[in-house]
Amino acid sequence: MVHLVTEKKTQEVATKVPRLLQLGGHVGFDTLPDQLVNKSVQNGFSFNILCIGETALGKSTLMDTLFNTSFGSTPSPHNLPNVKLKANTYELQESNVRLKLTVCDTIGYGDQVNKADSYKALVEYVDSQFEAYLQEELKIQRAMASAHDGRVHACLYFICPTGHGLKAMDLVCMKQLDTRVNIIPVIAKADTISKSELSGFKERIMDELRRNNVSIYQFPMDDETVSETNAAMNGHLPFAVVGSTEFVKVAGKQVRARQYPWGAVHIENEAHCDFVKLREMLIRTNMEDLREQTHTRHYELFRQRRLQQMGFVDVDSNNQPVSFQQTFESKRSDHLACLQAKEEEVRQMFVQRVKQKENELKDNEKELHTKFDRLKREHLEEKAQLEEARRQLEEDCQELQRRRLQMANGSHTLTLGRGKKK
Amino acid sequence: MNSPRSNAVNGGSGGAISALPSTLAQLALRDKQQAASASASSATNGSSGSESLVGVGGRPPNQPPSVPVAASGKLDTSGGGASNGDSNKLTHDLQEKEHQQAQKPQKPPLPVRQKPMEIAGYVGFANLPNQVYRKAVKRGFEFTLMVVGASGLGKSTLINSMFLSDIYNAEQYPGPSLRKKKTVAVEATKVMLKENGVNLTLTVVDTPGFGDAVDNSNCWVPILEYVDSKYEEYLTAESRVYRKTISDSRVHCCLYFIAPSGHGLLPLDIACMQSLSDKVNLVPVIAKADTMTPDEVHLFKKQILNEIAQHKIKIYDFPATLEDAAEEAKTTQNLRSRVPFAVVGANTIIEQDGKKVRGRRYPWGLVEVENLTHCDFIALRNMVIRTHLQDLKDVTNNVHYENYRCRKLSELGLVDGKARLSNKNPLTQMEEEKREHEQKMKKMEAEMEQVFDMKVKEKMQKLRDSELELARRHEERKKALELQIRELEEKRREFEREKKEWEDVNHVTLEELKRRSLGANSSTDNVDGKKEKKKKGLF
Repeated sequence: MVHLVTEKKTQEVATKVPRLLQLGGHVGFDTLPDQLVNKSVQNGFSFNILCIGETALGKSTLMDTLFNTSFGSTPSPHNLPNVKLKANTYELQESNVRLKLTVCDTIGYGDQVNKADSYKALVEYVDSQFEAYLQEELKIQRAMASAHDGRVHACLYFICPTGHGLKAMDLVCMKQLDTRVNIIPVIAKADTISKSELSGFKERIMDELRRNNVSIYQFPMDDETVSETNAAMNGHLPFAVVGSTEFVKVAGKQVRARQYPWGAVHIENEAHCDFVKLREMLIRTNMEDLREQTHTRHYELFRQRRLQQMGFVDVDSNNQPVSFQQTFESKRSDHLACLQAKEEEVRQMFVQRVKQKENELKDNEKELHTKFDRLKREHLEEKAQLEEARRQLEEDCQELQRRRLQMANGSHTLTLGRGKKK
Repeated sequence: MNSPRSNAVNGGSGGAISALPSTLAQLALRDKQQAASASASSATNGSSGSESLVGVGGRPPNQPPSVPVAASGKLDTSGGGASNGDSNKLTHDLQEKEHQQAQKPQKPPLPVRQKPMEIAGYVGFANLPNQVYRKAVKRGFEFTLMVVGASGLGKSTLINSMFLSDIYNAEQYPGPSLRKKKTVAVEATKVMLKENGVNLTLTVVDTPGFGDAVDNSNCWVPILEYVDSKYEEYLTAESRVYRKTISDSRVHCCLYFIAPSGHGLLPLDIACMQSLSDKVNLVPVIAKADTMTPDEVHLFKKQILNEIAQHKIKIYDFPATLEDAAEEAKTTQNLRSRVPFAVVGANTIIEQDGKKVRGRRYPWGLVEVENLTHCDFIALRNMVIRTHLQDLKDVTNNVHYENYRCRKLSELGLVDGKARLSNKNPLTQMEEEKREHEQKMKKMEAEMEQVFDMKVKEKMQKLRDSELELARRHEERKKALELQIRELEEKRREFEREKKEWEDVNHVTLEELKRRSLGANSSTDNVDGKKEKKKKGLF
């Protein structure tokens, strides 16, 4: 009895909240993060960037600048009839860390007279990457670890440096994308805006985004190591950037810059532009968070929409939880019933058709018989006429025969006949 | 003591640091301090990193080395083998695809100016491991350890020794032996542990009553059911439309306690381990090893390994990791060679020669738990916790759970008991079935259409034949009639000819004769005239 009571109490305690125990020495599970990180480094990392912006805003140049390499892209013309996407994948290594980088560039964005459908290709691309991942996840035998993950982790949206504000196209596009990707807006070719103009421009952009409920990526502040930095950087959005693949010599060092007659714009000088901020925030500090947000928020949202579209629910009509197996079995039953019903429908249609045809044929047959009955009657009539004619002929023959006999027996007959009359 | 991280901040960041605002500089400085604490090899990595990055522009990017999970091959069931094969094939295909993708955009690199060392190599993604590290620490870790073995083999003591804490104690949380039951039960104890900022939620699953009955037939079934139930829970949570963070209570490791008989495995051990080896990472442990001499332990281990191989029991094989340096690799190999681990459990702290040691005191000496010359406890703890805890989780997730899931989903959608051949998910399978059904319906429709057409044609033909027959008969009758008509006409012409001859000969016409007869009988009606005429004629 005491034992049972103790046992019950033990179970109750165990199910409530786990005990926090003190360790009597070093156990060694503090290496767990290192074990995890070592595996990640061993497997390599992947990162996928989608660059959206009008032609000639310097998207490719910025990518080359960000990753300190030449991706070898070619400039695009302005005459494309619709928006196309071009994704290239590169293998990079920095120190002992390997990165499989996919950069997807938009070609022809903003070049059409009517830009109403420009965003559709982008949404389609992003969703197709999610779809591919979902299909792998739903496979029976799946390879989540080794399958290529093409989901877009970051979307750099290049804003045209008008100095006034966002274009309508910008708002339409970002509104469609903000629940799908981490949008990081950047002001392109920022060296065309003066310092004083820039701060106003940034404010107007952020105001417009807020007014239109566009959710851009916020650098996370829940990690105390980087929260201070991220909070400050959130206040600098959108970053005003300049890209360059050329160098000039400054104080004996080669620096990336754009050379003008009135001076050189130093790409990595924070007094000149926000390039360093972008690089630090996008790559050095928050790359993992971008990946995590893509997986835990954007992908989950897509997955929810998609599974609901497929008819999956988490609770039934009585608000009871439904397992995947139950849902699937239910859907399978409906599926089979549907197939059966369809089969029956086809069969019924066929039966109907057979009946119709049979009736048609019956009518044809009746018609045929009617026709031949009529012909038969006509025939009988003609036959009757023939018989009549034959009878007439026979009568005439008999008459002639009588007259002949009378003539042949001329005297006797004539005498007898006359005698009788007289 | 924190282990130094293998990742390093690139030395090239020095140039960038000077230009950063105070907060960024502070962050970079912190990272630099972390880098400073890194080992010399990290500095080497920094240099090689620069070289590699310079090389990126000059040659095709490095292909990621193939790093198969060694455990997968050995731990797979036959079905799992297929899964592994598919994974490998898929990996290979993907690598080929990646290679093509990588090769396709490769163009002769544009000539670039000489880059300053402090800036040339800096991009920043070398810091990704740090980011992953911070995220992992913030999330915390979960681990489930199952212990299976007969009563009195020291399971509770060993668990407490491994984690240096009172997970089990005699008063409030008795071990499985003190909770004996008539039948085998499976019970879980969950505790929170913290070490140097790393939080671990540990669940220990034990099996009071295991092997204690007279008849132990199928006493391992509740254990298998427990393992499967956790997989089922995870599968259900993973399959929900709205998913929250999924709590992972799957069994990541199973310590199987072998009684130190010195002879070999019991039939119960063999049957149980055979059942478990497909579902969990199985780590065999020889309990109470202080009851055997080192030579006996050595022979016993060999015997056990032979029997395990003989009965095709798959045990977790503690794969070597690439990060192992030469010395570490050697150490790992030495530790791995100690499987199955012969352990002694003790919670008593004994002071000896001025040091506190955990051990068991006998009149003939002190057995030190953490002395590798006394037992394999250190090897067990190091391998399971310090180096392979994450791998145990990964193998559970990627192999055992996937095998379970594959079996489970394969059962769904069986068609007339036939196993599916498709690897696609049940939904796609259903859509495919729908398409197949549509194809089948079209085919059936086509066949029915064909039969219909054939029958219609047949009937039409019959109708046509009938029509032709009727027409033929009609035609025949018509011809016969026409023939008769012609005959009659011929006869009439003959009659007319005879009449004419007769009339010519007699110079009188039949009509005149008729008229005379009629004239003679003008006093009577026509009918009477005829009758009289006939009578006279006959006479």
